[in-house]
Amino acid sequence: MSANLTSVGKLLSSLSGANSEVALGFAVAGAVIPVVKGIISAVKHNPDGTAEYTVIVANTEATLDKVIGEAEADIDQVNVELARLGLPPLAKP
Amino acid sequence: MKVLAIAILSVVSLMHACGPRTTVNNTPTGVTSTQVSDWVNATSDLQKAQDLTHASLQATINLNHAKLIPDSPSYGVAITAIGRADQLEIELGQFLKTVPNTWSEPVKTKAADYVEQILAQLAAATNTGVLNVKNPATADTVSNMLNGASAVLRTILALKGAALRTEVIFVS
Repeated sequence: MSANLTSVGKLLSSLSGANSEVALGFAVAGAVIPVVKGIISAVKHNPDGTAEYTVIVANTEATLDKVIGEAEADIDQVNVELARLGLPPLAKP
Repeated sequence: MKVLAIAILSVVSLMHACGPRTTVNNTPTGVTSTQVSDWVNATSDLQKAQDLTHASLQATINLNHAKLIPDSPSYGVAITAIGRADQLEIELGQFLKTVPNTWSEPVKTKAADYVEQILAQLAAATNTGVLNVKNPATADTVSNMLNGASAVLRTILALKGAALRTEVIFVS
């Protein structure tokens, strides 16, 4: 665990420098469960071997794209029904 | 879900004991971490509400095609209202994309306006009375599903500095 944490610390430090976006998660039964995605904005290494890092949460762009895409698909389906009923279609925003 | 919660708690406990301490902050200029949390929570709630809207629409159409909800003016009103809720969910999603990680008062006010309009459309759909047919696939009525979407949307209206619902942890 400590070896991994050292690697994590190095990884986070490099990502902080690059202002890169990372996904954080944890492993359960061999599968990685995504927790949050964001930008590592700062990493602080403490004398006791622990590290603190700050995440700018930025995981929601994809979520919003998914919301928009699925709602647009819904409108397509509604319009099929409205056409069948002889009613005017709804526009997509 | 319970297993997942236990796993999270276990990992968090382990991290507090020997791992990195994590801090979730939002640091755009003039934006607090609380505002970020609320924005993330609002986005998550919008997704849940859209999922329920989508499921309700599917169920409504399926029930109509199965002749359990007849073709009628009320059916047209109901699916039109659900479609308008979808339109507004798109507009809210597009708006939230323009103000990432920000839940300031103006953002909150505008989001609340969208939410109120969506709630009105979902209410209009349920008020037709044609969606009270039990869906054999879900053993529930479409009306109840739409009420679930409304309940999720109301949590957006209640966002006032709630803690981020997502624990940020890292396990390699």
